[in-house]
Amino acid sequence: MSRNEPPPLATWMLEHLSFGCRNEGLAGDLCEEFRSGRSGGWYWRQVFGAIAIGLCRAAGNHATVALFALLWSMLAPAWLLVVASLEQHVDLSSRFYRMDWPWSTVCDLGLLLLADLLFIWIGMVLYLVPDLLQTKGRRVRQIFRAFAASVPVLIVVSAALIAIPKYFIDVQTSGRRSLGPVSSYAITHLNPPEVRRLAPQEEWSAHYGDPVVVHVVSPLAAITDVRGASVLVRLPFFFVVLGGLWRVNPTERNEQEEIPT
Amino acid sequence: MILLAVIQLDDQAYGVPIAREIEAHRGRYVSVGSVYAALERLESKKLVSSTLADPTPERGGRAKRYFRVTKTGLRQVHETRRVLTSLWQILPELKGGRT
Repeated sequence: MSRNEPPPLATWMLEHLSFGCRNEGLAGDLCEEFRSGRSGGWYWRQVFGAIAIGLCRAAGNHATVALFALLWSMLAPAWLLVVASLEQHVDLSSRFYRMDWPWSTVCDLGLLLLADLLFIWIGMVLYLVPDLLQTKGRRVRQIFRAFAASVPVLIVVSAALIAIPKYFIDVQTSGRRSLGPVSSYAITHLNPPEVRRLAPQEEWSAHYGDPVVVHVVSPLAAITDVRGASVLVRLPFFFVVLGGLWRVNPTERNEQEEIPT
Repeated sequence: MILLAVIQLDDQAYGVPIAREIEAHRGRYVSVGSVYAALERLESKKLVSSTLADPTPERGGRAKRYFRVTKTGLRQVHETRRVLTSLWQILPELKGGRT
């Protein structure tokens, strides 16, 4: 980087992380000031200030969406519990686990993805119903695009936050290079295990009187659980619902309608 | 404050000089980003208008955005001054604060 050129990373951040604020004039002003002798620290301070202001304005315009995404994602662990109990009921995990790789992982991930998407789409529909009724379905195409976009976003965010960390934990703890049942992993990491004695009819793998590790979870406990693993499970839901509703937000504030002060 | 700075700077009113003008009068650091955010709000309320100049190499090929106060903006400035002046006139003498 020459002295005449402002820090390229800062410039890139200014141009790409301004949350919809117009910034050509600002970027030019900062560049001109830097070339007339301002320091790199000054440039970075201005860039961070501009990004923070853009973020605050965007958050103000999308506060309802952010709040809804937060509340909806709080329910996600309870939804995962329902999915897990259904999965256990039909013993899908064992069936997937017995399959040859990669089908075991593909089926397991597919089921988890489908369950997650269903939950996300239900949330988005609930949020958008009043708008759909008000606009008489004129924005259906735009809304459909938001739904479609949630699929790749969910895959990327889930992979980054759940599947990849699980893979590395498996490699470190058991040396097994496989994703294994991901959906069960997400659930069993929600609550701490409790050791108790079970009757054999309650647990097929237990001999009578053997101590068995049981994950004690109830939907309410899952919803109110705010420990690290629970928060991690909620994050993909939060980001996908927020991202999906961001562009189709019906309650976006129209500044033209504000009273001049 | 932004409107007054734009009026004061006349045809040299763009981001950095406006920030400097406010900094000089307030005596505190002003972020250029916050000036632009305020100017955009004022523009959306039609209190200022802006024009783009030609891009220049010293600005990395970016255009300079000049701002001018509109007639509505000018009316708003006078109105605000009138209201503030009348409020100050009826205010009892303030105790404490600045020395």
